Amino acid sequence: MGNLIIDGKRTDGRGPLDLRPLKLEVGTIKNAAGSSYIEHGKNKIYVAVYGPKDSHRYGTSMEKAIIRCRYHMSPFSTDERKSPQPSRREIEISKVIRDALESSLILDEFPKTLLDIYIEVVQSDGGSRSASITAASVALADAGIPMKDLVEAVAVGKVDGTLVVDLSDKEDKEGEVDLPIAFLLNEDMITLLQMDGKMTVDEFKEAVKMAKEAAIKIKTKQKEALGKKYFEKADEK
Amino acid sequence: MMPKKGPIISNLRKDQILKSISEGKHIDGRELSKQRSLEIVPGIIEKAEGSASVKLGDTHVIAGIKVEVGTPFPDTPSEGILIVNAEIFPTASEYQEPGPPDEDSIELARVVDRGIRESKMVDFSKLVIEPAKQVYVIYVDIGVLGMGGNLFDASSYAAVAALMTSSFNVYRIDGDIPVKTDEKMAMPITDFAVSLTFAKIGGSIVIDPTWEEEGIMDARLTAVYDNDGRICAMQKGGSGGLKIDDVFQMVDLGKAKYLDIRKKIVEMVENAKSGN
Amino acid sequence: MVARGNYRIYSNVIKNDDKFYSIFVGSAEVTGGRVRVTRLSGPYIPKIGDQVIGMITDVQPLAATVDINSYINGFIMANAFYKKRIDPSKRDLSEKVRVGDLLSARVNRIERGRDVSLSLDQRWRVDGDAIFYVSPAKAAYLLKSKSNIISKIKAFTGAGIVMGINGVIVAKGEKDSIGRITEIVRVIESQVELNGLEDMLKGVLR
Repeated sequence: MGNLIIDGKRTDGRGPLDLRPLKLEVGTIKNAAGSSYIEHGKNKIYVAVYGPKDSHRYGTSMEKAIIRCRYHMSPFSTDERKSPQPSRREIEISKVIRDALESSLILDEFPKTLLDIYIEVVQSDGGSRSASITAASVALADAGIPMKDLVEAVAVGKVDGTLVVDLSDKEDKEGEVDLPIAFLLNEDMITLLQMDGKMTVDEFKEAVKMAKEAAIKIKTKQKEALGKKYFEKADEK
Repeated sequence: MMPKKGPIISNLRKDQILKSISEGKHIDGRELSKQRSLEIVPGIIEKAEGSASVKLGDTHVIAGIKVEVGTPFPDTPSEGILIVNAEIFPTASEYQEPGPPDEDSIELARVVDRGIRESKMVDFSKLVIEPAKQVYVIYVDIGVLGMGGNLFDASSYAAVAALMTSSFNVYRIDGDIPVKTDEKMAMPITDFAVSLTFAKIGGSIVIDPTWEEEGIMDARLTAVYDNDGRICAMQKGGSGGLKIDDVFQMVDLGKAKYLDIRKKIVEMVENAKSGN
Repeated sequence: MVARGNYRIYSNVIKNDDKFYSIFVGSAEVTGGRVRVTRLSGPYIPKIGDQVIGMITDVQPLAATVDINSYINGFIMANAFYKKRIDPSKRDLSEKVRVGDLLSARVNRIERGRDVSLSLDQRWRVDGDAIFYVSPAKAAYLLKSKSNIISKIKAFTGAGIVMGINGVIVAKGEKDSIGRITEIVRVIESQVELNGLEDMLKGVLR
């Protein structure tokens, strides 16, 4: 501790409010109803959305489409090889991502169907769940799933006592707090919130505000990526 | 009931594909003996010791190499270990369910494994840290992101390109324990082999079948050619049979074609290397 | 956000306070106090009376399941094929259709959570030389076009064309005609803005 911020700069040269480079593409997997690819920091993540599709299997609902979500890390995505079997961490993240996205979607038009969201992290870095949510929301829009708004996620943290946005892997591991948050900006709502570490209530409130500012920037990227596929210019949605 | 692994193809589309093949063209317009566009990009996963993305038509595969240290097999105490694993990710198509590798994924891994092993591509004798005790374990993990047919060739090219461009940290024995050093070692590559897949569709033999063509083919044959044009691994697939003469025609066609593809692979790998 | 103020929702828009938001990627239009968004992606959403081209995916003795390029399957009772009640001990539907056959049908009943009930068109068997898919949004736009764009495509290409509002196009004709229609479908798919589509096609068809 004590070497993550020097002269107001973070280890990768960013200021506290700066995001890492973020690249987002739409329509990267041909077979999918909707798909996307995100590079955020060193994260490289593909998302494919299939459905909604007719399913008479047990577990569907008359109320709405049922979402299945898989967040998976490729064996070669990490410094040490990761076993191909899903870990407890991946299963938990799959669940919180599903919850984060579901509240954005309008699914009552599709009873008795399944909507599959498959997230493949081919290279992982800090904030892979946030990047996955940001990308998956775009893939859902590409699939034409009705939604209240796009969802964007980012982690805020505390490193060397300073609040910073969009934690790198190093900051995530060595910093004091990791706080990933997902937003539904139009509704001013939070759809994912996790935290580990210690911070005061005031710090937490400040962190949420910082995350929201970052989410606004990320949303611009999301709209640009969708616009690139559907329009020449990106001012429609 | 077995879950269906591909789309049901309309009878009209089947006739359309068969008619096209009888007129000497794949449904996508190429000659029957021509491969789809091939794009190989090595080095896309910085965290892996080697990697490559391969796009063969609509098929998209990524291979990554990870190197670990382990105990050699008792019957080969002076050789490193190769483990090939493949997963058709559920991103690939709506027919791919998440879960442990199914028979298609396992067959895919084993066919790629045989091509690497039998072509003696990697010099395993150079992957020994201390004989009988510590050797390098080379993991080749293949992931299919997008399904567009002919996974065998795409996966094989990805594995080959990833291995050819990989390098890893050298370990030294300190006491009894292997310790990672900063020194880098290139993967000891001696040769490599080229996989080519043929399908028998409506009486014709075609190279590099698309997903739709695989859906209506009688049978398929994959043959892997080394530098001298010798066959070092084969796999027949599909529920129909192949006439002996068909098989002979296929391996002859492969002999005539493998060098072109070999050149393409070398070119794309060299380009990537010189670009770095 | 597509609009702000006091408008009425026309389609595919939700209201939050005084702001209107699109629920799809689509092109927005604000006219006469109404806000509407035309969706540009997503599955075909069946409506009663729609004419669709479907593919048989399962044949049961007395009914067939039909893929209509939607989030939900269609189904047709065997009676429709025989125009009368049939005795299942003597006949079954497999003598009329098999898996993979294409047919032209109309949506006649939609019940929440159940397959969509279809009725057969008079000439229901769809035959041809090539099949194409365009997005359902574009298919609907072209079929509703006031300048009868489909006939113009037929005249230009010399091909027989059957098109379903679910985005399926089946063409029948000589090799050259099929080549021309392939090109037209490529134009349709490359044009993203629905509004420009008709003009663009007119340019190609000239």
